[in-house]
Amino acid sequence: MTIAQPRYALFDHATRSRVERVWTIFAENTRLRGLRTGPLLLVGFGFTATFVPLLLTEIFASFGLLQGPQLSSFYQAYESPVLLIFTMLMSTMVGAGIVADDLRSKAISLYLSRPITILDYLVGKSAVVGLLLALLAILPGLLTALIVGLLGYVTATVAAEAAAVFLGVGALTVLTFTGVAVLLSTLTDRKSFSGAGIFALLFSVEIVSLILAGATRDLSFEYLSPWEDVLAVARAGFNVSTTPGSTIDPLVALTVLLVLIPVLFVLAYLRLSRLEVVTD
Amino acid sequence: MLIEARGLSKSYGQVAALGPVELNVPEGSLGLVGPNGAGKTTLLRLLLGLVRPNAGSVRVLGRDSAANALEVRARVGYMPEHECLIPEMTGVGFVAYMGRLSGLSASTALSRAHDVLQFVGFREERYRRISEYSMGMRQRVKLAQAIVHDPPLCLLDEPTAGLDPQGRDEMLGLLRALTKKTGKSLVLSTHILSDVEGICENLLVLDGGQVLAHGPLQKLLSLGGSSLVVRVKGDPAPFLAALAARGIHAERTGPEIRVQRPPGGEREIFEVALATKSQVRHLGRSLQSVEDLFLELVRRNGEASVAAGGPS
Repeated sequence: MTIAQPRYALFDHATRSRVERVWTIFAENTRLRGLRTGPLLLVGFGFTATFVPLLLTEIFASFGLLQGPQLSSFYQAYESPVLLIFTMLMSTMVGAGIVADDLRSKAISLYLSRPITILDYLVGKSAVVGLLLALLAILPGLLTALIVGLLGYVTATVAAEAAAVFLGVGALTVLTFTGVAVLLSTLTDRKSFSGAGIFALLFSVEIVSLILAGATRDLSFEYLSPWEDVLAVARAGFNVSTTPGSTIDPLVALTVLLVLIPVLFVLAYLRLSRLEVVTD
Repeated sequence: MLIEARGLSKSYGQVAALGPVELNVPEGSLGLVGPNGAGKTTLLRLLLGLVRPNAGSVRVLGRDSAANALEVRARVGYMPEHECLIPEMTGVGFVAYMGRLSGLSASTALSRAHDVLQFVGFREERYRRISEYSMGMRQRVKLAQAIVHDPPLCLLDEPTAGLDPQGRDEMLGLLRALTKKTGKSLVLSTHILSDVEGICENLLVLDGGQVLAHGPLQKLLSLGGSSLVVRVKGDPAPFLAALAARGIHAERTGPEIRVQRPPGGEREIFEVALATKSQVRHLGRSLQSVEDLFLELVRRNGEASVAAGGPS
């Protein structure tokens, strides 16, 4: 064993800011969790499955082969269940262990023994899930809008509007799914439990709300499903024409999401605040 | 002053975990000892600002732990007792990561990680995943991450727990080097009392959330000079009776007799032995180690509790 004195002193160096420390959590965990076969495959398949059909739709639409080119044609990205399936899978695969793994290994006690608050920790960890979800929920639509806009398949105004809607609706999707994943990940130290919980919750809420809405002919049950709320906001954003009374109100759906998102993160914060993290 | 506590107390619901405690700990190394449930971990949590006290305050390195928790944590290294490493990371990656979380730049953190891993005895194994490390290696990585940002104070919770005798000796050697060569202040929380000897200059004994003793280790041990331990050959009853006749308080504790030091010192003990024809086999100070001191303090505390009608 070698015993040598370390040569540096902490305060000889400019210490990094708190924001940089949060960035460190985000960057290191993105490398640890995102750069793995599972998430990379999911991003690859999910991105392609959304981007390619959407791009082809817009190109064909510009040739007059399909209806368009208009803003509403971009809604096609949300019409197929592909986006929902891949965001659910990504939330489950990456989100399940994002906090649960640290609870299990008790590494969270080391995080919090550093100059890091619970909020810093949650922001850094949530950003990892958020980034990977954004690659599925925002990037394909945004890229399509930019490409078809630059190539002149749609007018610059339509391309800019589409990009803005993809950003806004995508952000709502990312925040909602990230919130669900992070909250459930704080509830247990077993990744398998939280993973099962995330998938079951997102999937069952979607199915149950649609069944209830169909059985009772009361569309308001659809507000229970975050995905149906996202779709309602997307329809309004992309200016999709619908029969009055056949869909839920986008404003109410937006309100539901804007209430739900902070509630999910506040609950996750409260859950972590109450943990006895230093020792077991 | 390293640590200053004023009326510090913490309870979880109805359970009083600590205090009220008054402390003035000078720079150097402090041994924090006590049985399970004594309040050691609660005190460490309070020092790190991870829990807020119900009453009173504690200052670490001149900063209030509750009000300036982040400033305190930037200047303190913490080695938990339990497993806390990220198994997917390499040793050097993990230690560098912890350095960056403490505020070091990426390049400085990496340099420091290599330095401290060298310090704790790692060579090529620093590039292996932590999941492949032995218990002793994990303990050394835990120590490395606690000192990577070169904190003036390290809080070490049971650093020798789970180590084999050789690993324990190595860890104690590292801790000695930390205090003697790098001049860091340590708070060493342990229930292995012999770990404290040879490393710590000061001692804090907790039991039931109360401070039983606090001060320089040698001074506390010398307090044991007021009583002596005597072992005599054969039946000690005549010897005990003769001591009582001379007004010297003595009590039998197993094979030993604990005697209050008489005015005439050890000489008077030998006179009594001579008079009763008892052969003295051992005569010494009652407290010779931290373990003796600890047991004595806990025994006295238990007796005091019983006398006061409280829980033992």
